[in-house]
Amino acid sequence: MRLLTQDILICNEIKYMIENKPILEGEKLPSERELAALLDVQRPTVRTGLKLLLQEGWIYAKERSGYFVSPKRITKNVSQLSSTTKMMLSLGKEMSLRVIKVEKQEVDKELSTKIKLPIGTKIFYIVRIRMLNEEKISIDLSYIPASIAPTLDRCDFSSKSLYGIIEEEFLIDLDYSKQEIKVENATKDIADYLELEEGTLVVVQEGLVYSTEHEPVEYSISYMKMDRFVYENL
Amino acid sequence: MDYRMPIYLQIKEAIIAKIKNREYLPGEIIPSERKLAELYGVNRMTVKNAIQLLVDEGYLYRIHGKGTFVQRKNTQRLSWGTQDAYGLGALLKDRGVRRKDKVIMKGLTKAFNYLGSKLQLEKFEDVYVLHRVRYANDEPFAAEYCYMPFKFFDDVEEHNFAQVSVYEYMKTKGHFPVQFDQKLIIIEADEKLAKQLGIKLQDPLYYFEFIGTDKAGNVVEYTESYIRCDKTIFTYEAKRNLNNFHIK
Repeated sequence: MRLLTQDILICNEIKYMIENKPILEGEKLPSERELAALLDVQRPTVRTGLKLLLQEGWIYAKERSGYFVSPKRITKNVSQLSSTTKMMLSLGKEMSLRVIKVEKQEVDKELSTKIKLPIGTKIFYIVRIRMLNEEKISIDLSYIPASIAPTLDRCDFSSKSLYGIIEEEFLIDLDYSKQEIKVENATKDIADYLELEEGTLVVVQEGLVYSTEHEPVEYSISYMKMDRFVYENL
Repeated sequence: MDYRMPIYLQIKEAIIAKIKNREYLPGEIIPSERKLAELYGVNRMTVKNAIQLLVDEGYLYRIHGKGTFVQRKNTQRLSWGTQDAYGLGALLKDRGVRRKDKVIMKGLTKAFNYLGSKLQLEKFEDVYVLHRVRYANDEPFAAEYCYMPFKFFDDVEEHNFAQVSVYEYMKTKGHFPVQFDQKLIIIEADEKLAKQLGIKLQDPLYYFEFIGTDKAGNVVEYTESYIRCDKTIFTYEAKRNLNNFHIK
């Protein structure tokens, strides 16, 4: 058996071209014939290589016009508890956050096991939608105990990040967070927010942030489009 | 569900429905057999049968002297994360999971642009490739392609990585990775991965890329891991302090 199948090699070499930018985002890939000549392989090999790239979301196909380089994924840093607004962006893209809801609620049974506070505790429930240009790419739900930020509903979220507000206006020192990343089928609500079909796979990032006093400060859960993010330890 | 179905099956379905709509939460105790028998107006033996099935199928678990609890999904999965960057193998061993690795292919290849850029090698330098499918409790959970610069590991072909841990081997060569760059995306399984991992086409997979650097600053490993999302949860700890993060 061949050590590395040709299609993996071809797939990797095209990745290299995209990562090192001879071909830019949105740009058309050379045709199968051109790639075959360029990489010195048969056309069927190129075809299976392209299939792998499609599967991993590096490229997308347009009917009758060929393959194009997908938009670069947004890098989310998973080693640091930083406000996600600091995520790296590729040029020409604008990311914004729309606050959909800021509401005072009480902890119910299910939330109490997540935020580790008793049922009935007053919390603020904040729903934000992250936009990349005009596209909705994630929905972020946050639950913050009202005791640590009593006037959170009167804060201006448009000029400051949530963590910025908690730290600077309510003088809470954030310390660390236990997080997990998993995959789920979007419920109807989530799918509607992100303009997806119900049941579409979405990436779920969930975690509890603690203060330096070891008090829970925020339980958050984000639902992200699968092909939009890359998670890195930077 | 049909009302003519055996009663114990109907009760089983009723309990599953309560787990699904989160009336019974993961980790929570469910009502006693006596109370359930009362609730549904049936014999305790009938309830017992329903619960036994639910335990057998992994929906519930019993703690002797305490009661019956709803399975926490996470405990059926393997949690790991950045702090465990020393390989899936070591982690699985620590958790008492029966592990097995199957070598699908191995040998030397030459770096072209892509591998050259990941491993910081010149074009046409030798690279050792190790492609394994990794098993936990006899079930495949990860497919891995590990690439190592041959110049650091010139006797690599003499080792059998179905048994020997790659990191243990690297240690003996003085090129143990101490720092990792990691990248994660979620992808859908293609035919080949679906077959190797015993899952359906387009089932989601964690796709990790690791670049490991030894203490002298040499890149000693580039690994691509495809890990089943239904068997694993990627967990990690994030720190607020910028300079506080280390992978041990």
